Amino acid sequence: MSLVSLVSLSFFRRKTSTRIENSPSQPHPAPCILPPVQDHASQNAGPLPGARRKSEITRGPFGAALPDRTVDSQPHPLLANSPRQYVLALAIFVVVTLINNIWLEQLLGYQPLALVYLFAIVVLALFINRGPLLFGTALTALGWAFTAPPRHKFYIDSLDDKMMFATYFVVALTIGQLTTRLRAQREAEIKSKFLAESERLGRTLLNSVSHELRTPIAAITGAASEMLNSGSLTPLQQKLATEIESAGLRLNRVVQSLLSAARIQSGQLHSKLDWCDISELVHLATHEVPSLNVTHRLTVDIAPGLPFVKLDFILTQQALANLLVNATTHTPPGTPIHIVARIQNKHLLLKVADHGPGLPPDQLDRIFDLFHRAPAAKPGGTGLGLAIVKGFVEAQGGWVQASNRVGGGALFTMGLPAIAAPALPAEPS
Amino acid sequence: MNTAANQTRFSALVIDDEPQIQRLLTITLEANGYRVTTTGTGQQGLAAAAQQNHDIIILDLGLPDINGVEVLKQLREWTQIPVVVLTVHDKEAEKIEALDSGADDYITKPFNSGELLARLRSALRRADKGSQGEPDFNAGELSVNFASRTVTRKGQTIKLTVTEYTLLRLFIKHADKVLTHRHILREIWGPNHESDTHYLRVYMTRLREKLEADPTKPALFLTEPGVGYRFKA
Repeated sequence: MSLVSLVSLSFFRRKTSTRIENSPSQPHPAPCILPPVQDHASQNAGPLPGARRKSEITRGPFGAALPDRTVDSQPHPLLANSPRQYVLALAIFVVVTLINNIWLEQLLGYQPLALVYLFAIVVLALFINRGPLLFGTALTALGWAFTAPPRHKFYIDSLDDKMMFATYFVVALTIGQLTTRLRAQREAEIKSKFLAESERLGRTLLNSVSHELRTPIAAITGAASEMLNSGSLTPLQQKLATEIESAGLRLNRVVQSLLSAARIQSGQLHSKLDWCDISELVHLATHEVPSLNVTHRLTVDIAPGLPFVKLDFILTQQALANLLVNATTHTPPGTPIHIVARIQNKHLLLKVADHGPGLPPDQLDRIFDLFHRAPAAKPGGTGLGLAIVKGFVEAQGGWVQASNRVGGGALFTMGLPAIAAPALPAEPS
Repeated sequence: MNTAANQTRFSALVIDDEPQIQRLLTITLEANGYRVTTTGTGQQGLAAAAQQNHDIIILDLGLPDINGVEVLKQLREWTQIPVVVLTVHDKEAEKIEALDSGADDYITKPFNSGELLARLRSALRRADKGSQGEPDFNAGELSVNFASRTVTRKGQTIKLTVTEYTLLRLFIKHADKVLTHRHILREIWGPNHESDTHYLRVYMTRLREKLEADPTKPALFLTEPGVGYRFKA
């Protein structure tokens, strides 16, 4: 089953497209709220015709099938921009006028020529936008006025012909309006239907991948843990069962990271903000990294009287835990790791500082990219951890920043908007 | 519950559509003295629960025919049999929904068999003494006398406000069980305050400060991230 390849495929597609969007070099953010990465499409409705289509691709989760069908609903590439449509309208007008004047006028008389112009306008309306169509309508109306007696003057003599002119103009305009509106409606329908469908597909795929991978992992770790619990193993068997269990748990963490990253990438991460006790959050995050206190010296510095902050507990806890895992893997054993929590400028700042080798200065911008790994990084990492941190804090309207400490070592700072909790009703003791 | 003289082993009903998980649970539970019945769909599970007498149900929330929470709701229409639901890591909303629909506990896949057995034991224990009145409570350093409304820790009387005391009593009544934020808020502050989680945060901090040995590393009032709290007796 190539479910994994599907997931990673979707990463790469999304990655290439987001790269393009974010490329206007992002200066290092000062502590301020950066907009969450959501609506890419609205940000780059740029003049490049190609860029517009690219953003269509990013909109749908698991964009694999998106490009073909999105292109279908766009006009033909030759007609993609309006100057070309004006040229087309002019060309059609010239051709029809020539046919009218050289051939049809002798055959039919001048009045039915209006119908020929109308025919051309209706056909044009199927392909071009409102502006160029209006231009074409005006041209053809003038063209007919030019043919009607007195000939070769932009003036119409008889009342009949004046009526004819007015009717032509109104009918052609109305038809043009109706056709373009209908077409726009149809395009919007196709697009929204397609987006909904692709979102549903993405969700289904995530759920089934999650289920297909987690079921066997649950069986592996469950069986290994029961073997260990049974207490009837030889020392060798016990070692082997322990190895199976810990490998299963590691596999589970990798699957968890992949699914989190896929969820961020496909825009299916929805934060659930709730009042949180920061010391509780820090405590539980450190719990998720059991090796932390064994291999390193952890210090926790939470500003006294820190108020409750409205944030997504699980996402923030996971982000902090990922930063701690990152610090333990990239710094020598025995060195200290500090967690600092402060409120500053109505923002909660959660910092993780270490005493390791620090970060290469030229990598600071790319360190949060998906699958990015520092050139000198130790083997055995997915390159997902920091990308997940970024995705999780940005989903809550926050930001994350990497820097090097003055005294040496890396410093990661997460900033999350903090508003004051409403007061509690007083209570007699 | 079902404690007829000739019945020494608990009977567990497993409702899970994955054959691999069914086998694993059967092996694990049988090795630990349970009699196990397995069913693969919600409908079959409901039928099996009605036809035979079970002591506990292990219910997977992702069933092929009907939603696991729906199975739970239908079960709760006629029985209070303990139900432990199986769920996966990042589905907090599902866990909350299951607990609020009457699940006794949840366990997250992949699970450790020791953890699973402990959860089952405590669910069975709660069900067994559910009908008894409130005795005095003693656990470690903490003791509560419900008749005189006194709380002592290490022999010293602790002063609690009315709300703090009510909250503590609620936790003791549901010891070892996960209480969702919504459930606690409704019980203590009433249905209009179901989303005022900051009330709960404030009082949990106060309770921990008064009753925990180290309030920053809670050992009694455990947080179930994104779901609620569990009081560990």
